Amino acid sequence: MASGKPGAVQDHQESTAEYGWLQLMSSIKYDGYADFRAGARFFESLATWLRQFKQQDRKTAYAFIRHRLVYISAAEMHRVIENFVPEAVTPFLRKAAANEAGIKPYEVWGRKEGVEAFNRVLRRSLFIGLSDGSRIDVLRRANAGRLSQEQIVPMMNIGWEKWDELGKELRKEQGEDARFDNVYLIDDFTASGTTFIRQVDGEWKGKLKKFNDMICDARKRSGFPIAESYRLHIHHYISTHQARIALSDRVANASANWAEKSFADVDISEGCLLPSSLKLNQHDDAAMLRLCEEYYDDQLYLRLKKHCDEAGQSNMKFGYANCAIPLVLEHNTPNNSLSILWAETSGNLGHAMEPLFRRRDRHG
Amino acid sequence: MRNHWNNCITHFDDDVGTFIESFFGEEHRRCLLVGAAGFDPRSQRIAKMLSDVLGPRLSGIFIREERGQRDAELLGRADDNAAALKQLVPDCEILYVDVFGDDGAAIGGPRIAAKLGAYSIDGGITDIVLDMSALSIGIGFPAAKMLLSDCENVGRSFHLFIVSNPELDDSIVSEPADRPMPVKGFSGSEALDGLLDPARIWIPQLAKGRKAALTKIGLSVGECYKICPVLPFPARDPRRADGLISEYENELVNEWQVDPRDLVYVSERNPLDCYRTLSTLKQRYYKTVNGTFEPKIVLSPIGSKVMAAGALMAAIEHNLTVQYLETVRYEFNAPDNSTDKTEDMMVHVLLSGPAYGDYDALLRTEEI
Amino acid sequence: MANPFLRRATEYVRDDASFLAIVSPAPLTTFLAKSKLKEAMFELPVRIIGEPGSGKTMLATLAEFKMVETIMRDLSTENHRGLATALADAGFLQDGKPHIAAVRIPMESDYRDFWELPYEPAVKTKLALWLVQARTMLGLLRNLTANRRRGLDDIRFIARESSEAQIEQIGGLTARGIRDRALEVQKAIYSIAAGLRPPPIENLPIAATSPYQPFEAIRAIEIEWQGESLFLSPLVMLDDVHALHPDQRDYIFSTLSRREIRFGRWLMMRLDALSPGAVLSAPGSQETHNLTTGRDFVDIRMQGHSERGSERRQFRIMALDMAKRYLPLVQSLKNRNADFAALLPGEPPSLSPGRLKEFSALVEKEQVKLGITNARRQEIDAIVSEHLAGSQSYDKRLEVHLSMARILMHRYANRVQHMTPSLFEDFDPDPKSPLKADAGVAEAARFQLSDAFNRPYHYGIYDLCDASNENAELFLQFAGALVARMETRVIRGKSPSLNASAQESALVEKARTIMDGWSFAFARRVRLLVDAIARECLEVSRSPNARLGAGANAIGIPEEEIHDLLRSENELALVLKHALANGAIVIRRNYGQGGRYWCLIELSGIVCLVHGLTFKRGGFLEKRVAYLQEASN
Repeated sequence: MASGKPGAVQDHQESTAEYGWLQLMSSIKYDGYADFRAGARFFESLATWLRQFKQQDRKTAYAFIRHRLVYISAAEMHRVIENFVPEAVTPFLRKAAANEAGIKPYEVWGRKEGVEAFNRVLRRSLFIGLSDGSRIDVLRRANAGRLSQEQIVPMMNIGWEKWDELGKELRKEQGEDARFDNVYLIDDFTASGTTFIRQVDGEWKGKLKKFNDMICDARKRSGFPIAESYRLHIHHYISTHQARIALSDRVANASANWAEKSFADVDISEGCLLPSSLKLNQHDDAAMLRLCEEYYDDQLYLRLKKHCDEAGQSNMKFGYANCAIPLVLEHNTPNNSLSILWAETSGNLGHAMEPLFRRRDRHG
Repeated sequence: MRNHWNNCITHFDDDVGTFIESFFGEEHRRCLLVGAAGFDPRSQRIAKMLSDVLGPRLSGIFIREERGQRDAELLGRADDNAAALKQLVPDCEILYVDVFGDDGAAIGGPRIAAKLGAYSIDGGITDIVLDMSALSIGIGFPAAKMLLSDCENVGRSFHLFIVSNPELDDSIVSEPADRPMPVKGFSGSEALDGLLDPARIWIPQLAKGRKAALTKIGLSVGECYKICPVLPFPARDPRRADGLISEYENELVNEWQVDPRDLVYVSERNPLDCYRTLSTLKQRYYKTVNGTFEPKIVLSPIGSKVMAAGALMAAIEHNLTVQYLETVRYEFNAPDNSTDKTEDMMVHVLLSGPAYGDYDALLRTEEI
Repeated sequence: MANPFLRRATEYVRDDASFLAIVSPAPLTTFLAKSKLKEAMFELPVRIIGEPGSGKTMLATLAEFKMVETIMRDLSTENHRGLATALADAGFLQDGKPHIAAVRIPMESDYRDFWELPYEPAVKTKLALWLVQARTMLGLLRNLTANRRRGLDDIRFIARESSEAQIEQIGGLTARGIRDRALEVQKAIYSIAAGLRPPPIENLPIAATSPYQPFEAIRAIEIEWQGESLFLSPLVMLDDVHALHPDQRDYIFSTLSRREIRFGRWLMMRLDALSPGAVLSAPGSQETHNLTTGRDFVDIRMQGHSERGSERRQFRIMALDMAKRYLPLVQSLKNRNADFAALLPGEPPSLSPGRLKEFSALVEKEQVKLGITNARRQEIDAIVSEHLAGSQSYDKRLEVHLSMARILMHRYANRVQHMTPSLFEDFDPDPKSPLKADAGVAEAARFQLSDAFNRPYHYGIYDLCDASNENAELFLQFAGALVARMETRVIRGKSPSLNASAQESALVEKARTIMDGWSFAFARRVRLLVDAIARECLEVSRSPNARLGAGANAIGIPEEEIHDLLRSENELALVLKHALANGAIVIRRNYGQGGRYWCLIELSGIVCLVHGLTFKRGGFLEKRVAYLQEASN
């Protein structure tokens, strides 16, 4: 009976099974990674990536990919973008409309005053994309006919002309008193909440601060279309559990302590919440974490020193802000992910790191 | 044409409780709750929440699906649940429904239809709630279709509630019967010979541990123009879809030969997402084959109840076939009360009722 | 890249040309052509009862008009000519032209639901039958127009000498009229059963209640065939009638037995070895409503496994043919011009020299322990050599010889153990029954080598066929697993052919995956049962004297006990039924041996593979029903 199989045959069995899985996942997900070009796809990248490890470490590295990697494909991302309005926006605006019309939230669709209130509230909402990742193009298409062009802005740096135009269009449709009561800030991903909002040596930084300052400045001019006590909604398509908590805390802190705060209320939502178990930990992932320690080039830290120092970290072994997450997004790998996944270095201060899903730096 | 279904009033998790308090707190409301009284621990949650608010204004029909279950433990659980439900809703009736006939054929659908058809609903009832958390598809779907149709006819409100827990689902093992068939009332136009040749799309919902059942169902569906498996994303576990892809590797590659672009991702917690996605798919498909082939869409939503609810809506609205395989036996490895226990997710959907008023007339040109 | 072998076999049935390439005409010849009641088969109702795997559905698909037409249009190939001969023998052809227009109607769909309608049985039966008639007419028209040789207007229906009214009720005698009426009836009746609220009987739609009797009204169909007019007798083959409720089935059968019906009608049902009435001579619980076999209806039994040897041979031919057609579809192996059998060489494995030495020493030691003289040993060796020289097997390596010798030594020791050693002579008596080396001993020898040394045991094309239990689908699954291995080898730059060890490893792994994936009703109990049986069979197979020859892979329960069990409410009966239905076991009823009759419960090829048991049939352990109960819990 063939029970105790000789090593070679067992190896062969496993490789047949793994090969099948690799082919399937490559065709469904990994080959779509933006950085791959034809001829240099996942399979090849994996082979190169594994080769950098010593023989006895390759199993750990492969197991990590097989069982821990979270890769969010374009198809999955699209779903999250498409769900934004129906799931995060409409329910809130329905409640707001009910409030305005003096009816119950579940009566809004059935009564004339409810529908009218809703339409009003919807039109008086402004949607602002904070980066390319906000995929405002996809958002627009998914909401064609539902949202007006004049309430969606693809970037945060809104000049006065644009503010003016937005205001004019709004007042034309909704009357002279019309202002945007709800402002949605949309971004694709947050792992630590840091990019969005952080405090460094007592000084507040990040996209929210920039936005707030911009509003405070712009509203000095007359005709500024955002209401005095507008409600701010912060939405990330993908967020980690860690980020959610950080955002909640820091935003609450900022709300309480900012000298000049443009918004009256804030809430935070996300399309897809990644669980806290996503982060690698010593209990379950000791072997892989050891690999992160060993196969590391400190050059990476030097490259990003300023940001790392701000985040209070002294090396980049486990990704920015030591997030230690195994996440890859189809258009780019976030630097919060384990650097062993995305870093490419020459080995000046350690191991020459070879990436699996190479990260295209904007600022590292 | 149920336009309002693109924009149903839904509530999730904590908001469900808030809604129940507010809505059912209205004194004039009298509610009939239809749910399951089986071994599933989720049977009681909605009953409790409604009972707390409605008190004597709540009546119930609790269905016990009889499969000739000899497992003492499961029977015990079911008995306990039934007793608890009776406590929560004193004004209730327990309906025993045989899932299999004396010849072993699956007849749960016709049976529940007959029983519900014979039940006369008190004229004073303003709301009917169907708790689908623990009803199997062969019973729950026909019940939903009948109750919805009744409510629409007399202008009563009809609600769906689902308590879901994907991790708990994984610990329930279903032993499937031999012969796949359409769910009663959901044959679509499947067995009707038309004038044009049929072009079929099969949309199976991949579910953990149900490979054998899905493969059998796939074989019974027969030749397909396309197969579009449904995967859960966004989901509580971001790797759940990947896990299913891995589990169904052979089926995806060899058996069904699925093009990666045909994979359908659908929210694990919002049934409307599934409904909208399927509706869009149906519209596009019918347009593509119009005049050349007879389009037929077959759904097999045998996994998560939340996604199944979306499929239910799509099947009712667009007259789609639902093909399934009845379960002969269940095995339940109850999770112990460890800290690892995952939380239930709750969803409420108001499918029909005066709350929608004259939706079509009030609607803006496009959906809201 | 999809592996075509791993796609379910239904694929090949759909494509007409492929189907014709692999369909066997044997069932036609064996069961129909040779039937004494051949003449009546197209006039009286016929019950065709077949065990799973007996080819019943294949037969029905082959007999459908469009398939017959395809064959008759092209008699250039030997294959088609063979099929045509069989069809002619069975009465489907006359004078080299089609004589019957047959259509297969699967009964597995909605008909059972009709029995749940809230009407009288007579009404429920009528509704179901009318739907059947409507679908039959539509199916016939589809078949007649399938090959695009004729259109609807080229088909004419001939009526029985009956009233104008009846003809009008079926839509007239034109194909169009009949089609439209059939569509109307179908739609009306379908909606009654498909809906959730069946209408009260007084509200049934007119189209469903007004008379509709094409089976009575139509006598023949006229078409054009190669320039001439041709009259065909219509035949409806209701397949899988076992899907109906038994009472429903009886009513339908009774209704279809009416003498006014002109249509040929066959009711085909699956009857597995555990259904009531499975044992020969008693058609069992099929009520016959005062009808007599031969006069009012015809019964035909298709046995699945009676002629085991020839069935196995037949299957091997078909399986190889299938593999031959599938292999070129595998991308990586396409250009190899390989023959499937050649990729699975039957070259026997061999023990390493070290192991061989070890084994040889072991056998020597046992010889001493058993007190066998060298002379006796030499005689045993000679017997073994003689057998191996004349044996047809390719596996005659030294270790097989040694293993056989070892078995014979133990047999010898057993046979002489009661004899008293003499004080004066060397104890080397002749055994009462002389020692013999036969195929059983050889097989046992190979089993024991496999069991003790992991020497590959199941490999080669024939073992692959035997592992599949004559199930084409299963064969393709196993072949697919082997092909997947071959592909990986090619990717690594090696030759695709697999040696014995690699073959066995692939087969066992696949078998294990299948077993681990069992998730039908009572799968857990079935698994416990077959594992328990396998363990006991292994024990016995390991006995040094190989007392059951090649070994055991089955248990036998007294036939009466099984009979009683099947009639009881015991869940065990269900466990067995599901085990049988899902390929975990094979059942042979009424097997005579040792003056008794047994029900043999044989482990299927899959189970034998996983546990390393022989495929050869014959050896079984005697057990009782109580054992089944215990082993499955």
